[in-house]
Amino acid sequence: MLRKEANRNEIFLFASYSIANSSMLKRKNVFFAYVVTLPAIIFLLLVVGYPVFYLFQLAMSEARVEAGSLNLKWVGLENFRILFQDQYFLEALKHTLYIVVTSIPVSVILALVLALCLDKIRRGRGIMQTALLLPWMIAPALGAAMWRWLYNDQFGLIDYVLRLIGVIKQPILWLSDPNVAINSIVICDVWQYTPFCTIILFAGLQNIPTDLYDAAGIDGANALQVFWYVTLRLLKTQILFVLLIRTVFTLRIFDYVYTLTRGGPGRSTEVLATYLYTTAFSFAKFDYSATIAVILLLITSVVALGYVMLFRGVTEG
Amino acid sequence: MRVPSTQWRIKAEIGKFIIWTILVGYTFLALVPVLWTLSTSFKPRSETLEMPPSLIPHNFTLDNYVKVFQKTPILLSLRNSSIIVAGTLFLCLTLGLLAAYGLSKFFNFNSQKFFLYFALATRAVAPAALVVPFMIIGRRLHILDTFLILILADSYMWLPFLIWLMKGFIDVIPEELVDASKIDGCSNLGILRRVIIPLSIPGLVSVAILIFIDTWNELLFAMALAESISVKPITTTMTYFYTDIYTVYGWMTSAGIVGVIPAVIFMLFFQRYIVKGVIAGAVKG
Repeated sequence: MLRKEANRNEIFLFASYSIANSSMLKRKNVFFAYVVTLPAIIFLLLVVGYPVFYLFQLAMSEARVEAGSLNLKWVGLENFRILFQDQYFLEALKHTLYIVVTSIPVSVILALVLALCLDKIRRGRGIMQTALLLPWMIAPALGAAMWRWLYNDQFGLIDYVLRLIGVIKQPILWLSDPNVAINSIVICDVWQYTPFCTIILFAGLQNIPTDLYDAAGIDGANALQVFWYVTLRLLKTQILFVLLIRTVFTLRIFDYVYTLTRGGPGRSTEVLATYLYTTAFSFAKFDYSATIAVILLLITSVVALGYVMLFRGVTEG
Repeated sequence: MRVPSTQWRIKAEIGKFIIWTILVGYTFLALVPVLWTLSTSFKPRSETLEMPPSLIPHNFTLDNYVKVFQKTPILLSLRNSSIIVAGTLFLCLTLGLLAAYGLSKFFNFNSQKFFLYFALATRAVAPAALVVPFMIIGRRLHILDTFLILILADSYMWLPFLIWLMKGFIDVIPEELVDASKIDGCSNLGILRRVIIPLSIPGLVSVAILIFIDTWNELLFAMALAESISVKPITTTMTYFYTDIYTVYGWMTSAGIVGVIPAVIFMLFFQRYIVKGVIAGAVKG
């Protein structure tokens, strides 16, 4: 009887102790959780949140440099009204979109072919992967040194080879002909980013179970049907991802344009990023540059959101 | 029976041949810019202007490299690049690992989601859009033209990415392991140090390499936010070689090679991790 009582007391004591302890522990854990997570949140708020807020403020103001400081005067959407009548801006937008619609299909199709080939070989795959990936490691700013030299119209290799095999008679002015220059940038862009697309698509191919191919073979599907109904269908997510990344990054293209042509000759290769850069840093029109930046931000966000929604549709249905 | 099997074998052989032709052909074309640049960088000036061009230099010389190191601030730029990369890596890894650990093991699903989407939104902001605000705010805070602002600017893209990836890696560490070390008397930080970090090293390495390469290659912020030669990284120093109408191609190509080497060496050593990091990034978005 007594022992039972004591035992019960002990249990009660133990239970209350552990409850108190666990809530204390929980409180300690919550505190710890905030201490480790908050620095990153604060960093992102200060380094991205505030500058983006400031960008919008700048875009809707008239900025004047007075006594070394920048004074903002609210003008609403006036800058945007001017922007949409700005011939240079519309041209820059057109060039950016041109690079998007040429470079991306070429590099993704090329990557798909390479990934399919890579998937089929066994020996030498590691070496091929390394070699294929190499251009992606090279900074566009440094790769430009290579391409400027290749594109040289007197001593460049490309013109020399093309003349040697008789494709052209006159040298192509890769970087100084207004009609050609933008395509030279597209070539660099394809060269730089095809490796990345290849690796992503290759990883996707590796995830397709082999019995699916076998099943399709037993059902009597030919190679094209297998490719269409099995490979492409199961590669959808990766293809969409590659398209998303490539689109968002190509809309922001800056490095190759700036290092190869600086938007020239004339304005034939001016893109959104170079236009906003020169507007701010060569002409000190910060408000107008911010306006272009807001448009760039909106375009990339809408594109990204569109892809994300497509993603959802693909992965769910 | 024999006829279809040999036919099939011939077909397979032809297929193999086509596959290898495509792979080797494309790789060769893709590597031509690198090889040609490498070859030019070892040629004396007279030979760079020779027609027809020689792929293997007749008069092999290291003169371009010597001149580039002596007469241009490329060594200083390499140092600056290294400082910026190291700072960015340190900042991203510290903040990112802590936040990923906190999110993964202490917050419920909804708070996790809220934070992850916030991080994703910051990552979606184009660098070109932030150049002007960074410049103006940096001037106001007197941190323009310092390593600090370049490190902050370079970190903003990679911190969200790192948090997403690391949270994924930490999520799969079994709860029992964490509980066991808690019972053994590990503090929360002790668990991070003794359990979480050792187990997520492969993931950490692959993300770190991506950050290294991307930061080393960054041009836009470096051009806009650094002015003095003692801060400018290699990518901006390279643009000097492009401005002159009269370009010394030997110098330009050798400087380009020197700038590319660190990233390439990194890649050759960690190739497996890179592929892993890229793929993990693809899955997590």
